[in-house]
Amino acid sequence: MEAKHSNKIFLSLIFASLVMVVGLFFYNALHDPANEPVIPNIDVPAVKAKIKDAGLVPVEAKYYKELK
Amino acid sequence: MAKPKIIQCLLCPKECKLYDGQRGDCRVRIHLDGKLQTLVYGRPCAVHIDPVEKKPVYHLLPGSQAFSIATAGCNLHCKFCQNWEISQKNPEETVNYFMPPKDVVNNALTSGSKSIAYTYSDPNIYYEYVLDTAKLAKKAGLKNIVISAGYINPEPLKELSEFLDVYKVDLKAFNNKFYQEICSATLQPVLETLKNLKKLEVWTEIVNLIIPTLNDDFTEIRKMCKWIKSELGNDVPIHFLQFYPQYKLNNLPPTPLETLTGARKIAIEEGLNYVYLGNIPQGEGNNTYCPNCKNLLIERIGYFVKEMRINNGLCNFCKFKIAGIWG
Ligand code: SF4
Ligand SMILES: [Zn+2]
Repeated sequence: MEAKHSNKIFLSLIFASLVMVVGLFFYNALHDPANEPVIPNIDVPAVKAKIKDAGLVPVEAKYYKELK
Repeated sequence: MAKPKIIQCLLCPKECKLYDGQRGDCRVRIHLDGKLQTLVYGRPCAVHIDPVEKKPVYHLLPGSQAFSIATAGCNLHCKFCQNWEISQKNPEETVNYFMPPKDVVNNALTSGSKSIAYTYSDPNIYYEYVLDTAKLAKKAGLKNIVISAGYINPEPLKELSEFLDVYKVDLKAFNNKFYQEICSATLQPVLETLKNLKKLEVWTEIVNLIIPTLNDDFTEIRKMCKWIKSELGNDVPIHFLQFYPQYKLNNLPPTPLETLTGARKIAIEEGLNYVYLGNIPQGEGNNTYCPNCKNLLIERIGYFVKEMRINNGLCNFCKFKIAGIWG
């Protein structure tokens, strides 16, 4: 009885690890970390002030899209 | 908390993804208030009048002047950049003029220039400024010349091409590893630009700066020449330029003359009709010869044209059509 129970635990552990390995494999294959933008810590009002101080006037650019 | 908005620039193959306040790899395009904005529209930091030969462009109105402008920033980061003091700077760090498109065109006309050259850094990144200026310049009878690394996506290239007369592409090497390690870019999009320019019928000249030990392998140069001939044709001029140590490549010597003449010999063997050497004072590599009768057609000393024997685009000797824009 005892042996049967620990066998079950052992098999579940193996199954769980397999799921994790396969999951990680697909996650890595589909997610290139180089393509993931890092959320920067930007002080936007300070950026705007710096641009204004330099006498630059932002003008809307062409060729861009918003990511959903 | 709402997910912060991300904007993706689609102008060049880098396709930067930007959060609010963040700017692209080129330093001049920024996500502000939910829009992508350019910081350099009408704000050039370099304005000069140059002989068109200095670009170098050899097959457009030889001996004429090009009104030349550039803004700060660049989407490449070449370790050998000649203009790194503007190309590798944010526009807040350079001294900028205020020169909207109509002023560029007026200044070009007043100076007696026959063309406007968008140059020095890389005009791809000040795209909107180039586009609006080029439209006005074309109406005013001026030619438009883009001097670029050709690292631009096909759609914006197509829109701009309508107003362009010449696109000079800096083909840095025929080797992706070089592009990645020395220029922070990749080779394939540049080759696509070259093929697209052919389809769009924009006169194209190619420059290849030969850097000792990095891209001076003759087998690779031959491969590049074969590719040019098969994909673009043998009338595309190629300029092999001599490298001088600068910026982050101060440790390398200038390109030996034998390497340059060797590259020229290879290009001629591969059947390219117009093969030039640049950054060297004088000699065969500066001149244009008729591909048919082999006579000397344009003799150049440095950037200056001493003699020109082309009339209405035809060789004075055998009347062979010389590719380019001559009138
Ligand atoms: S043009 Fe600038 S912002 Fe746009 S993708 Fe290229 S480097 Fe990024
Ligand atoms: Zn001839």
